[in-house]
Amino acid sequence: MGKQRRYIASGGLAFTENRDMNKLSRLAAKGWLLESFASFGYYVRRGEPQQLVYSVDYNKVEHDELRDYVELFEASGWTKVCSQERIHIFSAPAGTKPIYTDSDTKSEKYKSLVRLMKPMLAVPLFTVIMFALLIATQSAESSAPLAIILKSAGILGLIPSVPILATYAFARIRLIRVK
Amino acid sequence: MSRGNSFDADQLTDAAYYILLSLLVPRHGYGIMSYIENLTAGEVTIGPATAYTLIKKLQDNKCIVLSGEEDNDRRKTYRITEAGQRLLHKEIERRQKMADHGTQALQSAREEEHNG
Repeated sequence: MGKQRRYIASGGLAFTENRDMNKLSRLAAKGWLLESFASFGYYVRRGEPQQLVYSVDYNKVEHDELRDYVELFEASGWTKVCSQERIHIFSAPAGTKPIYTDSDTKSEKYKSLVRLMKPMLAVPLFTVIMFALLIATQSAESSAPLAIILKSAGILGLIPSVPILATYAFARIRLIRVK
Repeated sequence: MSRGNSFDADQLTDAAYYILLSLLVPRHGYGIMSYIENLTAGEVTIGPATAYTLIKKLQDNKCIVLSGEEDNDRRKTYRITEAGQRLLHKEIERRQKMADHGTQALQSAREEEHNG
């Protein structure tokens, strides 16, 4: 028969959270249910069509708190589908009340996202340092190989730096909007 | 770990207020949420993510502590602290006053209209 599993691309949760969650709902109604995270997206698997709503939470949950965390959600009708580090996706029957019911705690969610992003700022920082060193060595008498190494490192660093900085900026913007 | 706290030590959000009320008696997460639902006859519902976040915050602010009484399934139970109780009493008073002010204002507005 047809395939049982499909890959769904994500625009990056920080940018397209609502769009992604709506897309997952539409897919669930067609019988494609969220299974897990994938690189830059999700895997959905074939199942019974269901009217589901999906929600993301960003929250650092310690190992010994995980069961209580999940039970809180289950008590409200939300089932945990998948997790990746601090990112947790839940599903519930359409019409279930949202996981966040007050704006104060909703902004905590986005603070958590910002905190998640912070270590990744090391990449753009590294890139900037490489370029700075490159400029510095070019003004002095430098060896060509060193210049090449620095340049390559800088350019390689640029590639992930742009999306990282963009995501970080978006996370901060969301935080400001929610407050 | 600080949660980047904007928690005003003198006031509580509605959700935090209800959670604190529920913890006058030791309860665990699910118990907290069903207590609030019963207390308010279903009018106030607190989302699970909100509840989880607030439980952490209230702990950080020493308004609640882990109760140490484990229930049958070894869930974490919490209860209010003395500091939490003091805050709660202040809050109940503040909210009562607010409601009284509201009634007074409505009353005098009606009278003004009547006399005007």
